[in-house]
Amino acid sequence: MARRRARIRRLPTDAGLSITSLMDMMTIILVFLLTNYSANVLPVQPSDNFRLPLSTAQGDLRVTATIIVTREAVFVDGQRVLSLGPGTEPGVDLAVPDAEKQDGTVPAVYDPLVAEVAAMRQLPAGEDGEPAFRGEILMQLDRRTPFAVVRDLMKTAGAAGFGTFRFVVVADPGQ
Amino acid sequence: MREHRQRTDSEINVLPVMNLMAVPIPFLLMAAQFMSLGVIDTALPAVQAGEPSADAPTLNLWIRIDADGYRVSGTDPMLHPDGGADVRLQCAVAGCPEASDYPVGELRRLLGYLKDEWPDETLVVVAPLPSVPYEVMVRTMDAARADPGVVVKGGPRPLFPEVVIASAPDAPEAP
Repeated sequence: MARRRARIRRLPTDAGLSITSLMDMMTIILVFLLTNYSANVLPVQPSDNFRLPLSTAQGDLRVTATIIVTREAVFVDGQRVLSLGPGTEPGVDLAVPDAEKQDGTVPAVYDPLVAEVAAMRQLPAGEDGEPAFRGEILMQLDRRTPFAVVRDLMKTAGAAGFGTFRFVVVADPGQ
Repeated sequence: MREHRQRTDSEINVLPVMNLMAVPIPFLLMAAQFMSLGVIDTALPAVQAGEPSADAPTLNLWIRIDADGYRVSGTDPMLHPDGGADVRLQCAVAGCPEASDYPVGELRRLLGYLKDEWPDETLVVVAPLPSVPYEVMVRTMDAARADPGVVVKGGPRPLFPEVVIASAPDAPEAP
């Protein structure tokens, strides 16, 4: 009995939780997330209506005017400007409705792009001396988008003053 | 006597630091992009192609994409087998129901042979039919830009990295 009492007395009374290892773990996660953090250039998150294609392409995404095409609509700089409809050409399941076209361009897309060009031309040149407006436009398109839609939007963006089209893809070097 | 009263256990309380670190982790997790994005730069034909030079012969390489596969045309005799207008690369499955059915490997091999003959050429015009999905266009541009199967100077062998997008009906008839 006395021996048992002595054993109980020898048990540590301060059983505080050691959180050092937990803190190490959180530090590693935090550093990993901070190094992988980048400005969100993909305003539309992948969904059933919007999936980017895979590609071997790399390259940086400079912030500029953006056209997004989902299975339902066209967005310019995050604003929905046009609803897509069924196509009339053979084999085309999705297209810009004919009522929305005028002289080969799409006014609902052209007008905000022209306003964007005017606003970018007002901006001062960057530190490298490059003008703010370089004629580049980011194209984020759902992978099932028929070329009929791409063609109409490229013509429209070209008419608005954009000459370089930067197609955004999911980088997959193993493709 | 005073020395006896000094605390010997002077461990830092890390709980507030841990709380501080726990706050940005959910935010960073939500904002993190676990897919890496890339861009493919292209141009409109009028912007990129310019006027053909009268001095140097050009390849004038066109890749038309239709519902059966590819038609590759240009001035190289390799592209006119048996006096034909172009080289036809058929899809693995009739009608090319999936993007992966397009003969991208064959196309890349043909472009590799052409690059051997025309090492200074960098321009290719990709001309899809209106019904061709954007994903096929991207796979074709990937095949035209570089061959990852051949490593040159630590990277994939460049083929025709300057890609111009055009409408298939605009494509000139091969000589």
